[in-house]
Amino acid sequence: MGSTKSVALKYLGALTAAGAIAAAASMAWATAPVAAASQFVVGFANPITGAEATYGVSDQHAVEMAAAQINKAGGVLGQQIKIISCDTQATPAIGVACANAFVSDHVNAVIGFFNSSISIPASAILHTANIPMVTGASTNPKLTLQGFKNVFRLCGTDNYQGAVEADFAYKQLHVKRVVVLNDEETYGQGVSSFFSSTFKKLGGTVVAPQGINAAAADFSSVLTQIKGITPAIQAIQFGGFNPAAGLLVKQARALGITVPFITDDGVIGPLFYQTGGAATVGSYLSSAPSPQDLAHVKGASKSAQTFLKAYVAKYGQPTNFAAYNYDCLYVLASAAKAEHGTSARDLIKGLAATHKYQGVTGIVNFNKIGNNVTPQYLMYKVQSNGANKIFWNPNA
Amino acid sequence: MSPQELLQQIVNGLVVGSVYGLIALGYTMVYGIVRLINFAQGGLYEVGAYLGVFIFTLMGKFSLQNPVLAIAITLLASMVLTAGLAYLVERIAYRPLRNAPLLASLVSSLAVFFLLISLVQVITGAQPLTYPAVVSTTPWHLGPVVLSLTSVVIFVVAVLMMIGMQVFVQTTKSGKAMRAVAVNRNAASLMGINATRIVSLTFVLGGAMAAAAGVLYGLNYGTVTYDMGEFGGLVAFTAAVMGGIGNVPGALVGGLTVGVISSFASAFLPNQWNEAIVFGILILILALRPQGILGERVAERA
Repeated sequence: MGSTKSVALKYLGALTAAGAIAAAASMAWATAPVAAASQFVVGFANPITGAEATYGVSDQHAVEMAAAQINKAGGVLGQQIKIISCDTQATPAIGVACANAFVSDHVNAVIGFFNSSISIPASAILHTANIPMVTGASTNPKLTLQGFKNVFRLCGTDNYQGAVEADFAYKQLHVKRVVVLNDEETYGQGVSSFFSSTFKKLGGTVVAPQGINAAAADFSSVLTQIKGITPAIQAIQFGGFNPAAGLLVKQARALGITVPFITDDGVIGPLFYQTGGAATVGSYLSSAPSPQDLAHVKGASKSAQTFLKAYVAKYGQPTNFAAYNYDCLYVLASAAKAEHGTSARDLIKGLAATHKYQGVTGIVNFNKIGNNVTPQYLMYKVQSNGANKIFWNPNA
Repeated sequence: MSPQELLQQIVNGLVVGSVYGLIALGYTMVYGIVRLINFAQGGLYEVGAYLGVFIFTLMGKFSLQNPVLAIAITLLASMVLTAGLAYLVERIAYRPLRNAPLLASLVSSLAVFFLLISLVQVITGAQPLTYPAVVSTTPWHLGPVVLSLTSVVIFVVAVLMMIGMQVFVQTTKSGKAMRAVAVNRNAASLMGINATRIVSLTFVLGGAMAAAAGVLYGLNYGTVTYDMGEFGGLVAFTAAVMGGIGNVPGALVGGLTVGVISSFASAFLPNQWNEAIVFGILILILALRPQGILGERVAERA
């Protein structure tokens, strides 16, 4: 459940749900114009408004940029790409309505959804309708473990990300006792639970794992409790998003908790420093390489720099998943070309056969269940000016 | 739990509870006078917090450095503007429904609540905004307890406002008129009291309290989000009911109670249980004392 809406749902269940349905219904109208035969129609669903809109808007820009480039170069097998955008508001009920709208619009393929908590239920709808779906941001492993042949993922997965964090904490920071917190969303819980299992396997101890209510913004009780734990903990790991992460580290420092703060790529970005201020300096974040740092990845091409330049010129700095979403559309187009067709059958076959495709995020190879085997994670450290700098590269 | 931790948890609860208490004051005033649960209160709280960001930033531009003065001006300006908005809300969304069943006003208040929250998002975007760090956030170590300047300010302002409101209702002419309208609006009108004006005044005061809560919240946590009104508004509503809706000191007592309960709930149990515990205790209190902790409506205290 999206954190932003969950509170309202708890108290005003029926009412908010009705609102969501109404919003979804109006959305379905807005996207009603159905594809002309000569168009390659791609449904794009991301949080365009709401707390996680920063990412969604950046992803949308990247996909639009890719579409404009492909169209300029002649389109997909002569068909012009048309993007139908749908705002999920990071809310599962609305995201699922987006998937249904795409089905009735007969889109060729779908790029999305940002939140794992939406991608998983939405993938079932797209699976029934046999529409190919490629995500550039949903990292929960379950998504590709459902046996759906139509689902592909370009970005990495939480188990790998959580494992990199645990490896880093145990082997680089040499900490043995860690408090593990998450924001009770699918994504945050995923990263945290994979952190915990890897950390325990390495020989570390996980203390008082629990969820925090991101909507409450006051975490002082949980932190007071953490401060009182004996023997003292040596690090805090948090799985989730902003502004919860920034507020959490700020309040921890205010209470006098000085241990390292380790978190994930749901947090990385300017907002972390804005909300947490100086308290965030020195925090460690696991993340796939930012578009700015793609050059540090094995197999990354010069196209990463070209992408970044073009994006910055048009929209400013991209957020972390923008390049993956950009690659999503290109991989779809390449699948269509390989199979000489744009039907669902052609696209799914073409995607599954994608081998050593050179994208801006690196080389794309889908495995049997639809995961891209290439993505790598790095550990970043927040600098005193708020910028993120690569601190540790497990692959180096 | 060590005594030191116990004390810290109480302090944590009192700080966050003060914010709930201030918002709850608005719920309780309006309910006391017109028997309406004014859900718009949560939206006004959010608008107040956002106005605070803009006013604060504006003062930074005029290089106003004195933090006490900056806080005072921001607090007052946001309260005045939000009170104005509350007046408009009353004028547009409630007054035309004055003679309709109360349920109509209740639905109208929910509409205003969602409208205000959506407006904030449309105007400022979905990005959280941050308060300029004019106040030192360096923690104070008061014996075993860690405090910050803003947390003390929040608590003191909340108590002062509650006292001010109580004095206003009990001793001033307008306060007396308010209590008269609460007992019987028609009879009060026949006695020459301008009931329409008194109802407006109640909404305006409620809006001002919500704005104060919003600004103080922003100062303490540094970040305001477009959806903060959902959580804050609903928890404050709980606080108002717990303290005894319609009762002015009850709002603050309710707010502090909710704050401390949830603080202890998070300390002893995984956070997922937090709301279950708060509402469990609410049910318990209402079962034993249906009128809430302090009970009675504004009027009946006369």
